[in-house]
Amino acid sequence: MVGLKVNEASGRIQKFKLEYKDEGVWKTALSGTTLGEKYEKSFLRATSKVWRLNILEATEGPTMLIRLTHLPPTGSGFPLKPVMFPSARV
Amino acid sequence: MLRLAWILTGAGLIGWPTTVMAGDPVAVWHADGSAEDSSGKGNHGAAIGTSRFAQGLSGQAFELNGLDEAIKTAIDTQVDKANAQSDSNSEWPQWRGPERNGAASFSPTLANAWPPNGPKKIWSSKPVSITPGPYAGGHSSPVIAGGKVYQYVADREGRHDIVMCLDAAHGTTKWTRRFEAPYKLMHGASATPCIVDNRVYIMGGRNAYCLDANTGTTVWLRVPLMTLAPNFPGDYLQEVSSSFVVGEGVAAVVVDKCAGLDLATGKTLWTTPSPGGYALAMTSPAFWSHEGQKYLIYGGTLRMCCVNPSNGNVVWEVTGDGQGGDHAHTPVVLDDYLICFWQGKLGIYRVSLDGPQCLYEAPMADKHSSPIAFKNRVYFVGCPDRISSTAVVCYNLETGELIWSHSVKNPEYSSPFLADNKIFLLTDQGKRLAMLDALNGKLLGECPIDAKPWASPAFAMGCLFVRKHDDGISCYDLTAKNNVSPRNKPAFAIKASASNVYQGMEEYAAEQAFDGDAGTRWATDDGTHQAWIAAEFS
Repeated sequence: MVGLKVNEASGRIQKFKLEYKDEGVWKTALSGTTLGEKYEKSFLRATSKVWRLNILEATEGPTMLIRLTHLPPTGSGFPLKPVMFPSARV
Repeated sequence: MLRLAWILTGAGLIGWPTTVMAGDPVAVWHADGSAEDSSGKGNHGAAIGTSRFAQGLSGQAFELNGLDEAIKTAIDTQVDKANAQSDSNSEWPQWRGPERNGAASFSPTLANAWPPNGPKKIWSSKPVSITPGPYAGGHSSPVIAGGKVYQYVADREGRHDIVMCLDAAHGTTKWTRRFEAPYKLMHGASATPCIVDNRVYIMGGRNAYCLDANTGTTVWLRVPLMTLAPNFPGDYLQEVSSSFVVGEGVAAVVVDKCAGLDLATGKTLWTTPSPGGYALAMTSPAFWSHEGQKYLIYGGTLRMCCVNPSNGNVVWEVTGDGQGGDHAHTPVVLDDYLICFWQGKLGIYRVSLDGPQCLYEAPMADKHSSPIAFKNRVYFVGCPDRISSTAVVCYNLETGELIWSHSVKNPEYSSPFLADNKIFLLTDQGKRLAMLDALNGKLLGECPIDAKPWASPAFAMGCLFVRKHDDGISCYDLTAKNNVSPRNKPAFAIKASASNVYQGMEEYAAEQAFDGDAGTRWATDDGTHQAWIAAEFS
């Protein structure tokens, strides 16, 4: 199982794709607009080990924060990992 | 326990008080034109400044200017006290923890495993300056109360008792006290402080101290509390390692006899018979609560006693043959169960005012470590006869059944603790820290650590506090949020990349998004509107 948790608290992401690599080609697993604070998606039959969060459109802002986490097979989740995007510094 | 919070509605409007509580509310204010308490308990509020009311979420609400207007109530102290009690249950204010049973009453979710180097170290305090020598510093353990860490250090060669207080968040020194003290240069002097009602009660090698917890100011001294006793079998027992237990108006400690001291003055209110053997200076008493009354229980090789702390009357006494081990451990009482060594065996007893009734007992070589009793289980580091080496063992408290055992290489004398269904213990003379699953004894994690041999680790607010070889303290984060579980680790990226990294700086590289450390992150340059981050998982 492959899953993803995203916490995009600032709401600056306007358009994104979650992609996986299949025989060297990026394919779209899903696409969307905003993610919000508790976005979570699991792909039970996914076999690809290479994944990409492709942010296609985002409003600029120094405080944009997303949290991106790969879910473990147990589904319990490990601690959310903060990722700054774009240009956010602490 | 009571939590009281106000919902802020708009600028300066205070609405319905939201109460989350275990028992009855102490007050209810509807704020419908008055600050009267409708709970029937008479805890009415009084307006400070102008008294106004506005529309609230339900009915009316207090309207305050956010500056100097307030509703004052007479229950502030009660609420503070309830919150303080809650805080103390999350800390480790005495030997063997808040309930003196070796278990944390409350814990955040802890990591299921650690990175190879162990849990994340938050801080390490500076070394304590003492004169080097055998058993320098003693083996006292740290305690945590009110956001501060307290540690007693026995400077034997320097002939001083040292008490220090650190800020639990940063490890910086709040205050340090040094008292002249006699020593025999042996390995006693290892008592752990007890923090109650803003007082620090410490039994030194011979002297007893009561200090103000915030400032270190002396409240009272007993110099010495213990003089050489004729019962003492050897020089090494001429220093005390018994830790104070405080309650029912007395501070009790075993100094040959068990002594109850007046909390305000330190004067001896009563003494009761010596437990005998090593225990006469090394074991610590425990409280047993029965029908609203607290009793003290302590035991050694010669005697196990139950004492009414209010007057020092011995409620019951059981005598032994003086054999069966060192008896340096502290008995644990859980409800009406007593878990302790007695005549060379680890026993589970049911206690009543008539005495202890043995339910189960297991032959066990005493390793000085004190048991953990939590819910319906007992955990102990010892040598049961059916297990060839020293092990952590887990028994069912009600049936005496051995649930699991986990062999431990090079165990030491310190005592383990339980938090979030995990057992933590030091091994290999304080060089390693182990974490076991309390349910099945499975080893969840093991890592190197710098810990003083025989000093026991403490736990508060999700953090591990360990006394170092240099007698300073180290604090580690045991919570799940800052530690990586190997069960999760296969899910981590083995390769990570990103379209953009802020100024090309390594500290903002894509890998930082997947390293399990909440303190690091990926960032992009200013003006970035599109970007991607990719990961290849194992």
